Amino acid sequence: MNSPSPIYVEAPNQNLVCCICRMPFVDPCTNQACSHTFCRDCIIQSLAHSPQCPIDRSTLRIEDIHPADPIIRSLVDELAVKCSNESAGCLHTCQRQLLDAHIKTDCPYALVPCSAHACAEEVFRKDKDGHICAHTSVTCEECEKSIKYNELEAHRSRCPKRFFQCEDCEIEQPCSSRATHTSSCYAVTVKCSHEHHGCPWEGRRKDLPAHTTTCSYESIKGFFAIQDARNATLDNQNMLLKQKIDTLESQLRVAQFELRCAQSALGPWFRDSTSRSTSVSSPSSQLLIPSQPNGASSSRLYMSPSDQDSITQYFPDISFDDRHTSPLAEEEQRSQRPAPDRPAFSPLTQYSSSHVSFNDTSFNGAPIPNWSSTGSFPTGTGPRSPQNIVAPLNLNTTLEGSLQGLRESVVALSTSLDSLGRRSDIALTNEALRLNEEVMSLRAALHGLRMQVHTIMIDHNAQVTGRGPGIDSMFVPGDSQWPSFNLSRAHPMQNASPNSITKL
Amino acid sequence: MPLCSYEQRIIKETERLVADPAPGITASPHDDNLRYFDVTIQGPEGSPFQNGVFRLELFLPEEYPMAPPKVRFLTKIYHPNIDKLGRICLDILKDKWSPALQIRTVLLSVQALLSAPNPDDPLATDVAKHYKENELDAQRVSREWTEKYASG
Repeated sequence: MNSPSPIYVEAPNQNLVCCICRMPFVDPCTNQACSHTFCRDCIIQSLAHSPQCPIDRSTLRIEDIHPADPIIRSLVDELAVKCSNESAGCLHTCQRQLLDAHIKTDCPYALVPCSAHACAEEVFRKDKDGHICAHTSVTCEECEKSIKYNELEAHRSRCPKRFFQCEDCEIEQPCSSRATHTSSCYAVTVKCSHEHHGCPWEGRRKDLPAHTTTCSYESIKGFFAIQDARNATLDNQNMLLKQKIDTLESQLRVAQFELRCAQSALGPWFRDSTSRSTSVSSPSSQLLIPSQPNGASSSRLYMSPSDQDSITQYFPDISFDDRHTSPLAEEEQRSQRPAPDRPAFSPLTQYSSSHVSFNDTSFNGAPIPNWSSTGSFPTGTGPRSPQNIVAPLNLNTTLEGSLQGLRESVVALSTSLDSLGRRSDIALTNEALRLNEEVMSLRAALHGLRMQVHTIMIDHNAQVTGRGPGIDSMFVPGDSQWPSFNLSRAHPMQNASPNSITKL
Repeated sequence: MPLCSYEQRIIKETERLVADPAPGITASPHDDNLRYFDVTIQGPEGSPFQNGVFRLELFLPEEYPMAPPKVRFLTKIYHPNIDKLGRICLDILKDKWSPALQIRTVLLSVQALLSAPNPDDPLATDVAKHYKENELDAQRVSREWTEKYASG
């Protein structure tokens, strides 16, 4: 037997037990003479002592021993056994024939050599990877040097970084207690607990209690506490207010941006609301402006340069040169303008006479070739039918008002065009009828003349040849009807000819 | 390591001897040496050794079970096959030993030997001669010895 006999899970059948080792057969062999079966190792040893069968003492030689029947082999090989490392903790059980393989490859409690190169130790297979043996290199926590595990204890006792000398009390301390020592060392320089209130004291920690009893700040400790609390509250409030301001500023930025967008979208219709609001809110200024001759010049202050630019951009043909004319001239021009020509814009126009005047100047400056020619149209009903390219825009009014005005102008224009067309149609028809009649009378006169010429020619021919109808037969031989037709037609002409001749 | 297996055999034999002893026989191993046993055998009924309790020592040699155990009477006994030193003349303890035998069978054989002395194969020649010439007288001496040495 080469290995310790395994532990069987159940008590084996007595027929499978070797009488020498009292265990189930291992590699069973049978004596062919007497058919007794033993373990191979057992019987070989027994025969070495005495050459007889242990059971019946018959003579037995080693040559008579043969492997036992395969059935017996299977019966014993398949007996359930416990792992031989059961004492170490392995609870594995298997067939006896599989036990060797289990121990050799699987059993976590099997002893295997340590993986370290120089280590002769044997460890459990499950511990092999995490095994720390004397040859494993470890790192010192203090100086971070690499040290063999078995030398670590010796190194720790003399590691240079394991101790430090306190600079204040000059006592050597272990590194591990450095933090606690610094906070408790009596010689460390500390400051008074009222330092942030202004106490300038600075000294060793052991002197601190003595100072505290004399410190003037200590006596008003309660006041400081209240004050600190109040400061903290104020800081909090400040913080909140700052946040609020930030929010408002960002909202303001957004609003400004939106305002700019609206401004660019509105173009010349955008007006500074301050001018409107002031003029609306203060009727006194409204009254003042028309009464004063200088009102227009003062009101120009409301117009920013950007307004001018935007307007010139929209109306490139309009020059602003006339703005420098005196207000009196403006008044004069306005009075010259016929009242119905004023476009009926929204009431806002009345609020600021300065804007009205500006509007007027812009129209005056525009190249209007025939302003008064509107009256030349016989049935001109619209307030204005300007032939220039610029529409009558009033920048003082709202955008809707201006559009409304423009729309009305267009409607008026179209109606006037319609009536004009109708009138010219009637005139043309009348004229054509008259001309037609004249052409008809002329044609009749011409016909009468031709008839007279024809008669004269016939008469002349008769006088020359002496016979009347000879030439007719020459012209139309065999056709007796033609002359009669000709005569029948000639008669009314002859009758009418005196009239036509007299007419001609 | 053959001893591994055979030590296990010894352990198994010991367990059985203690748990299920043969009638009239006790055997207990020494604590310090599991191969050394203290044995007592009661004298078989109907024999001159009746009512005697005989102490023996039994030692399992290194070669056991290939070699027979060594057994010796510690109690003085008047028997033709047991000498003054307690050595026993028994064939299975010598050339007739077989590995198939065990401690229990050996002790039963010894007990049987007390019932059936064999003066033809003597070890104590004077006792054997006495048994051969006057068996009754010899049995009387045996009884006396049993009473004298084996009654405690």
